[in-house]
Amino acid sequence: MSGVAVSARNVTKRFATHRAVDNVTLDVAPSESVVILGPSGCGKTTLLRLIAGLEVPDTGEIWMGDVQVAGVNRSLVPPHRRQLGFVFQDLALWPHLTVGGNLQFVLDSLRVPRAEQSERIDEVLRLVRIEGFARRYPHELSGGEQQRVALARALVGRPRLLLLDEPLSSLDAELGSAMRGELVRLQRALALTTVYVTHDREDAAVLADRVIEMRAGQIVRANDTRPTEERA
Amino acid sequence: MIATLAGHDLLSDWAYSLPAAILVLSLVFYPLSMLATEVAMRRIDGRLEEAALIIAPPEFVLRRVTLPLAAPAILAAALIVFVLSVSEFGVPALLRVRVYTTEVFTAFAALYDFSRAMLLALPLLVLSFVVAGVAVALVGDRLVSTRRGSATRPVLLEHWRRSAEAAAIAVAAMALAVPVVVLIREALGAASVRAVLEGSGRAIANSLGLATIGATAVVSVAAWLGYARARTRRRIGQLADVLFVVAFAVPSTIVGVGLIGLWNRPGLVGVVYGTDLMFILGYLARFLPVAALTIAAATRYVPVSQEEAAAVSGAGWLRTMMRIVLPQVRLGLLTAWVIAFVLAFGELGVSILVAPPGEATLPIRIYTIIANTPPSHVAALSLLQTSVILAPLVILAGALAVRESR
Repeated sequence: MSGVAVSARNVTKRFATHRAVDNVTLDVAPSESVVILGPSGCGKTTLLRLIAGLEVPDTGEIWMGDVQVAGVNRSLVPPHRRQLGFVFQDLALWPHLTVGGNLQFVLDSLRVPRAEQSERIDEVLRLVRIEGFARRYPHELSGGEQQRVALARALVGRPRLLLLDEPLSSLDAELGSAMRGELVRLQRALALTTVYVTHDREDAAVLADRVIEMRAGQIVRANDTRPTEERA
Repeated sequence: MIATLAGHDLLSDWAYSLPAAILVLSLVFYPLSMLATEVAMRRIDGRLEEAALIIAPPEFVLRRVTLPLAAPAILAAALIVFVLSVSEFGVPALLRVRVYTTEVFTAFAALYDFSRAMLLALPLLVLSFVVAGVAVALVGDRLVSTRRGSATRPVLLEHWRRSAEAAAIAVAAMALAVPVVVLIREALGAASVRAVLEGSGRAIANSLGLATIGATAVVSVAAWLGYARARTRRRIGQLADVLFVVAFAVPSTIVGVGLIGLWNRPGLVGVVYGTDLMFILGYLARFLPVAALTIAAATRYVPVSQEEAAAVSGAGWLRTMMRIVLPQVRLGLLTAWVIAFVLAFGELGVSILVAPPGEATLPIRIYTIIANTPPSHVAALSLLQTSVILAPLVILAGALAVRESR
């Protein structure tokens, strides 16, 4: 598995009435940006949640680097130990904590020394361009600002893999376009392995090094969108 | 109450009768049905009524749109009130009305016939199961709900606001203001505060301490049960709701008999029996279900994605609970604590059976002295009990009002 940041091998996930993910195999290289594209109900979010450890596969394996993190009906490495960043579709910001509090929670969970936390919080807020927002509460922010906070929270722990579930779906066209550019900038600046899920082809075209199309739980197409000279 | 207001005892025989017991129980359980109706009404989308008002008069809309939408919840509340009334011991006992639960109490406390007491209890248990099952089937997941509801308010209420407010005030006056006024008037006839407290001071202290400890114990356990219920899948959750309702509806005398059967035995288990811990166990057995349902309702408003966000951020389950979930349900925890405290402070049916020798709570004290003590003393103690119960309720009402205004 060396040379691969995350790998799903023959993974299937069933719910009561259907197979959400049907025998899917997917490899993501280090620093690669992969977009999983498909309509609602195609299984893309379920696949993302399997990678994150929020679901366990009914068949198959999931690896992160050289470590198997999930097997049949079991999680071998729980989500909080997979060194992930995850931006949820509804952002899932903790409303009772300030922006700084949301970030500090992550650093406390990772046992980052208090002396270092302030600097890391400031750094990531600068990175996503919301310096000075640390003392505000999520409900005091605009949609775009909340999006940036969710991104900052996903990045502050310095994850080795960033997962984003429909990150732009709740934004208007103008804001969505601006955030697309931001996401591309951040991904390249940090050389972070990133997996996005979206139903929007335009988002996929801009964000992805490689686009994986899913239908009815299966991968139907994979396109490498990078210029030929950049491909491996 | 009526006799005292009228200034004579003409109706005193009526006061100790089945109709009087029915009236008192109606007033006691009225808040349950009122709150269930309020929740059901809040869940109605006002646009549904508006769509009907375009073509029909308000009375017609009420009969054909609003009430049918609220009917399942109202019916479920009625069924629960029915089973609570059938299981009630304290009110009929105080009004000297012989009911089924009196037979259970007598079988154990007077005849020491444990087997007979349990046999008599079985039909009530079966009834509780059946009623709880029907109630949960009627309202489903809405059994675990809060006062928050549709973004649009029911429209018809605006037409009848003044009438509804007047009716609510009248019921509140009947259920609360009049009895309190009567108690105050009666209590003023007491010789002195010292005379009232003499012999009852320890019972008062017991009630305060035990209710506080009991409510804290109940919420400490109910927090986890409530969380589990809120996060459980639908079918298992509905089964849990049935069990919760049954557990709450089980007559207090049955709970008391059961606790005695469980703990009154030789060995380490028997060490608990005969101590004040039996009161706490009784409160847990009786009030854990309603506290768990209250906390479950509050927990449902914390999206699961927030817990998942904590998990992928590096937090284990305990940290997620302590820093993400519990802080957001603190009003639910407070509500559950106040409910448990109020119920524990006034609890009689279990307490009178499990009380250690020489120990009493305020309700037990009132129950045992009512026949041989001047009414003014009993009224004073009852007024004290009412005041203690009202205080946390007023605080909670204030906290809820602040939350609603946001």
